[in-house]
Amino acid sequence: MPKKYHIDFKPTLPRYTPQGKSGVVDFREGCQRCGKCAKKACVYNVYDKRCFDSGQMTDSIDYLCKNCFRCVQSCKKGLLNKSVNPEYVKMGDAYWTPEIISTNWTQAETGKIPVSGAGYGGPFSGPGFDSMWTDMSEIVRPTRDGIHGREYINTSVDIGRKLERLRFGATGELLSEPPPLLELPLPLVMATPSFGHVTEKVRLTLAMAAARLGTFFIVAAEQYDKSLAHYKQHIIPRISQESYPSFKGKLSGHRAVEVIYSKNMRPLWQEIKQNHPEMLISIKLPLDGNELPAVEELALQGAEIIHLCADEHGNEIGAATPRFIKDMVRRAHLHLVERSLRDQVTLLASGGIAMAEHVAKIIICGADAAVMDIPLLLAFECRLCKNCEKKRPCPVTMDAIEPAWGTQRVLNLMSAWRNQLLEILGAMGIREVRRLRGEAGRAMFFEDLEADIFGKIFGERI
Amino acid sequence: MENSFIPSILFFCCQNSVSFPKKLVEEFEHPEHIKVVELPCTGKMEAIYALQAFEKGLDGVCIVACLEGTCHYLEGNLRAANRIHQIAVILNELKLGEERVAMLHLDSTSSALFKQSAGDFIRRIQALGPNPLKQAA
Repeated sequence: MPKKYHIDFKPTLPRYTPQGKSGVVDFREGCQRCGKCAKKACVYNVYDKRCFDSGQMTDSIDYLCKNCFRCVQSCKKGLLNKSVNPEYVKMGDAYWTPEIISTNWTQAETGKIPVSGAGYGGPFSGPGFDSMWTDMSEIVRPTRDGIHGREYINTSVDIGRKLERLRFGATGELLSEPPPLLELPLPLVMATPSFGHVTEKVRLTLAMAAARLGTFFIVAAEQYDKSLAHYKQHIIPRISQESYPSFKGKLSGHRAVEVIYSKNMRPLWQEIKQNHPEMLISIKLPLDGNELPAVEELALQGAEIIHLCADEHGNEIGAATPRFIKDMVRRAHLHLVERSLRDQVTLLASGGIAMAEHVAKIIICGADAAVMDIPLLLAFECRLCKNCEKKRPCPVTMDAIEPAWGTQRVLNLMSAWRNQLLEILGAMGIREVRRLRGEAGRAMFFEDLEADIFGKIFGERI
Repeated sequence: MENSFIPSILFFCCQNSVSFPKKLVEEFEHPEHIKVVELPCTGKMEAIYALQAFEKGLDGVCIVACLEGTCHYLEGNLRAANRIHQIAVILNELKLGEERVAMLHLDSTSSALFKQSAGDFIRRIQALGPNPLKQAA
């Protein structure tokens, strides 16, 4: 039996004090020296470990505090108050919320599934992936224990083109030539984020992490540094019509390559296939509203991988009222199913994949694997302040990361994400992630439910 | 001759004081030299926050608190004022000069006043010259 896939996680502390959710307001001058100090009674000893990071202007207590309110309640003079840290609230944007940023930080630090406490106080539905509820179907099917390893849940996916049927000769010999296929041990591919202080060191770190994980790292040909060549087995160079001539010589040795979609890309695609028949070709197709005919055409022309890409918030590119990636991928998947083409091609989806649950959700919507980009920056402590876009210094000096430290942070994040995928698969009673693809029956979509139940009474939502 | 020194300034702003201070400082001449840290209350600011900032080489620290009597934590801004006094004493002892620290009392509608007062503070620090600790380092 082959060895079980396992990601080695190891607690890896951040280099800078992260922004914490809490803001402790400490009126120390009024202290009456009662001798039974609430600070000493802290069960997490946060007051003892307190330090101030003058580079970041952050107080470690805001990050270490677990918000139990014990100190606030027990100070006899009421000198301790708690509030939400305004710097925390203002991180990120409406999609990349402070909660998403900080849970990814925690996962990159500990490698474990974050526990957010008892009960859920939030709304039942929201925009984006939050309008999709995965269905824990243990009522009709026994659950599987994936995390503790009593049953092996397989998270590997095959990428490449698959044969529709096998053909055999008169004597039973196989006539069909199986096309090249790659097996990823987890349904995640890494890609260079669209912003951030992504220097050569950062790209090298990501390539090293991809090699350790057994997955791929997509990097643009223009950013392909010499140091990456050592990891070419785990790198997918992304080339365009313009960058191909200069990159042509460096292409051999890679197992896959990505080509940016354009109307006249067919000769380029054919040339690469001719020179490197064993190499998988992924076609990066923007989700801009015109993707359905393009997906069908590419599938008919023999595309192996189609990488559907939305913007960083998971929205349709260039639309005034954009649709969300989950709806667009589902539409593309169903379109291929209707044309009986779906099983022949591999669909990758990128844009707005921010949390572990998004991976399971996008696979349910029909992708074979997800592409993660911005969460990789979060593994390197990024605060999404976008100072880099304003040409200002990075508050967490991302360009100065140590590759060994960064690789471990990425491994931790991936381990936590994979464990959450195992949890979801286990609860659904599914033993391999390949079977989750397009299993829309395992999820409920708020929009569909609303139309089914209330649409009959109130009509269409405007 | 015009003073070419660009001071690095740190603002500690109470979240209930002036609104969107980070956006407001973007309109200043050298926003890349200005850092704004928002706090739940200026009572959270310990003396060590400002002193470490000076140690790090910043040229001036300004605390933007609520108007007196309007603190959400009742007396946070008064405690901050006391701490500013302590900081000023230490700065004088270190021969850095108490002018390098200032406190503004503003409410959430005083954007214009913030720009004016903060601009005055920056000019004051510019006239004082760089933090001697930075030169020593």
